[in-house]
Amino acid sequence: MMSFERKKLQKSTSTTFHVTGTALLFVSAAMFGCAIIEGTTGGSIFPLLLASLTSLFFGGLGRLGTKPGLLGQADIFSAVGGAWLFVSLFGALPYLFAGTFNYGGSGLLIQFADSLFESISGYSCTGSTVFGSHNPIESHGSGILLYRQLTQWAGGMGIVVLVVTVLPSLRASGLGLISAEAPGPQSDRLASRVVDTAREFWKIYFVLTLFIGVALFAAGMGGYDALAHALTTASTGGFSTRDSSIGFWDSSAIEMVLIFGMILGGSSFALHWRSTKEHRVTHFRDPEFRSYFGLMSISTFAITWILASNGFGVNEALRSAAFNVVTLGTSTGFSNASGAGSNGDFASWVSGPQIILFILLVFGGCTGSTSGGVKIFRLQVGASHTLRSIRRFRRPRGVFPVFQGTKVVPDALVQRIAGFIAVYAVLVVIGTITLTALDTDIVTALSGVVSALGNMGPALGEAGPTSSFADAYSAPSRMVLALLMLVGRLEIFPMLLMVVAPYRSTKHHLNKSK
Amino acid sequence: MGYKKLPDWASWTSALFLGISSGLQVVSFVSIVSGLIGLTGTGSQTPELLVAGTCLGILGTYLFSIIRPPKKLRASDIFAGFFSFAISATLCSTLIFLIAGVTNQFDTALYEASVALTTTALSTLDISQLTPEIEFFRGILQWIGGLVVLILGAAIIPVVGTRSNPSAHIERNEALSLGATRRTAVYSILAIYVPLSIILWFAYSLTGIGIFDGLLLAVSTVSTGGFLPQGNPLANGAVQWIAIAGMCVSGTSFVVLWRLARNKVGELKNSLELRIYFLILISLGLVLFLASGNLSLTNLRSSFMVISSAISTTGFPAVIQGEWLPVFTVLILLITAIGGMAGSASGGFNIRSLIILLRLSIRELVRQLHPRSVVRIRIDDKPLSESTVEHAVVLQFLFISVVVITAVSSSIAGLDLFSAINASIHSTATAGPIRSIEGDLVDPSLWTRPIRATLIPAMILGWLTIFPVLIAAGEFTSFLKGRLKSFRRQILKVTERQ
Repeated sequence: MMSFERKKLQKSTSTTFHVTGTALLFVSAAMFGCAIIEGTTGGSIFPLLLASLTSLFFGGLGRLGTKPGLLGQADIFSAVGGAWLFVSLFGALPYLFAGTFNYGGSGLLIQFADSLFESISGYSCTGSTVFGSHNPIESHGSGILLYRQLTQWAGGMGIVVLVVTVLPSLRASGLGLISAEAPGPQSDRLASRVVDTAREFWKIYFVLTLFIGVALFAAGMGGYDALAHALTTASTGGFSTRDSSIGFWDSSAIEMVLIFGMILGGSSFALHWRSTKEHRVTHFRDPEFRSYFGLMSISTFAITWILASNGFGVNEALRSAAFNVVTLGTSTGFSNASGAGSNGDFASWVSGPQIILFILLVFGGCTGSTSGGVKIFRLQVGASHTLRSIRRFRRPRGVFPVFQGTKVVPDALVQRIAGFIAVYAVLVVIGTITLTALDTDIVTALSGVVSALGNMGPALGEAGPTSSFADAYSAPSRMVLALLMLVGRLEIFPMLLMVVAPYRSTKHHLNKSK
Repeated sequence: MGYKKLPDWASWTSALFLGISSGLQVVSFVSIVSGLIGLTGTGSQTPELLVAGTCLGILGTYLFSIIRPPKKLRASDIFAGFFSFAISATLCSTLIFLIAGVTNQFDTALYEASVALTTTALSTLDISQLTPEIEFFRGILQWIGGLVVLILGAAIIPVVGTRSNPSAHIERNEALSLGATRRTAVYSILAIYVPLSIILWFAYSLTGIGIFDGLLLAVSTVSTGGFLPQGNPLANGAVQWIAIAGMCVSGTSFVVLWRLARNKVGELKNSLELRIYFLILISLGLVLFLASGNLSLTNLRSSFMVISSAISTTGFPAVIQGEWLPVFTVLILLITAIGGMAGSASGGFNIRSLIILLRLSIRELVRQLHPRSVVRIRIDDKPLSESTVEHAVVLQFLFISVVVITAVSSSIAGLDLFSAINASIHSTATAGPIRSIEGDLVDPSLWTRPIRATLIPAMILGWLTIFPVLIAAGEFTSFLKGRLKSFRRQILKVTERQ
């Protein structure tokens, strides 16, 4: 007779595979669509089709061979972490089959590593790329490039959120899955049913993407490029269909549209939802959005002032500063540099603006958005917590809650945030030491690690906006960065718990059997 | 005098003025002694030191005489006193440097005074140009600076007894063994600090570097100041070994040293912080030695010199004999930011706070799996209160904030990105010297004056463990607000009458 513990274990494993399988089916569908586009534009449909069929087979096996059920806390993290790992792995297949990274006699292992890097960078919405002058983006087909953009779009809102929209049987566990995947320390519930919440999120996301796409088209981008860039702007991903990214168009109008789109992508989707429900802009009522907007405005003015006093014209300084502040502050990672050393190449600026941009790399956007980084909410809570400590010291018997705007933040959440920041710092230190030990210079290593953990895209030093990660980092370093991207996308805890939870569970079973 | 005529002083105001007068008197005393030391040689700067020291002393004594000591000092008053002491001592030392002609620029003199008092090894002075009296003045300033760190960190903060002071709870349990009251704790610290300085002086002198150089080197070592006398005595191998031992001891908690002195060795065996401190010291020393590719005894000594200098935030200039790898720079920067043990003379974030933060991270990880679990963080089998943990977090937040703000300002002033981060960490941790990526020591005198000016606030904040300064600032803001309110009321009254 099967024990209760064993049944529980089987049930959770079954749900994990069910969620992963469903996610793979979505990935397969995206690949199939892109295969058709590749075929219609004169390219070979086979790589994408083969990848699609492989994902379909394993996804179908996962979905049909298992049955979903209610999940425990540990299982939720396993399911989310597992889904992301498998999606990233299968997501690398199109690049591998198409030989996208088969250049200059690179071996199969390096090709696989590069494909995996690009896939993880895509799904985690990081935007770091191993394409470069040695392997130009524009030399590849429209289908594979659109697939690359789609990976960011899917990863932006979250693959698991997408899965929850079609799995009502998950019931309450669905909210746990959304929370585990959502950026920020807490997730919003937009409707009474979890499935409806997930669908509302996707609806807003879709409309935002459409809006940005139309605006980009109106600003002068071609239809295909407008669609491709809309996908990676709403998701604050930063992949482009051009080698010189947005610098290719050198258009203020396009940059303005993108700035607006990135700011919307980097702010809470719950705020967008509320605005649509109330038919007015409610964003500025939110203290996090106000700080986010204020921080970007101040940074823009500071950088403009420094650049203008270092030989830039005021207009050029403002344009470069605004675009780069927003692209890094929202963790998007587009570049408006037309080439190395051009106005938009922040890696060639003086150190003052660089350090401001570096701080923005750490801060990131708002909670509940598609952006990465530590998040403004956490920093606000940290600052409020510090102020409380100073007040408490002066009035030891006073009761001082931690506020965020007018809301009181529970102490448990404050501690969770403190724990997050501590783990974040530890990961930055370990990552930097590892990368420098793998022969990367310190600035490139440190900024690369922060960029990967915050899902930003470009970094500083040799990994600037006009550089390729293939040139800036060795293959082992890139794998470390890819791992950090995944850890960063899921906000550290789920990825670590995915490793810890099975270990604890096995230990628990072993203890029981003893 | 006007003592009786003065209105009642608020405890905060008297603490503030007590701090100012103490600063004046301490610098005056050091200046006069330095002037007298100069008489043993040419004494070229003795008159300036004696006159300036006497003037400051008279001013300090007068100020002390008019202060109405409060019946009871609040914790925030004590911190305000320490802060005003720090500012007044810094400004007085600046004045002495200017009067003695060490430099004729106010900002450079202020920087040097800050560097000396905060025990930061980022001096721009050309040692070969200094007279013995100025060398002595400079050396004793850092000795006093080290003593302030110890009194603040191991005697004042832990015994303050409020439930909401960050550093207090971090170091409280440990430091209480130094004495139940502030006074006994201060005596205990002096009972270790002074003999330790004398032992080191004696040990250095035995190596043949001379009594005067031995004294300067001893005060530099024990205070983790890192100021070197003329002639580079550290070139001597025996001196280096003594310096390594001295720095290791200076980075150790004074509670540990107190227990050792009391022969309570058994209690130390379970000290996690002590074990981690020595683990870092030995393991990184060996990593540097082995990875640099030179397996000579000289390189072993140099490797341990580099590591002990960094972890104790002393900042004696040391270079290894073998190849310098870029990862070494990161490791050195990391251990400099962490610093030594809590309750030691070293700067930095301290190992105890780091342990608390790491345990907090693990607890939060477990709480993700079991949201309702009640897990207490323990160190050495002793559970820590939630406020202790909370305040370690605040300290982390403040430390990072100071580093970030300093890095931004120094980079805007012209430092490159890596140097800006490096300099801000070293300033906040009151450490030095700064290394380039290639491992070469960077000469701070090559920096522009605005760059150096941006580092001064970080040094002072790091010296006073950040929090006391903010509390003093908070108190000052409240005081200003109160004054403004009463001023506004008076204006309203006047307008109503009209």
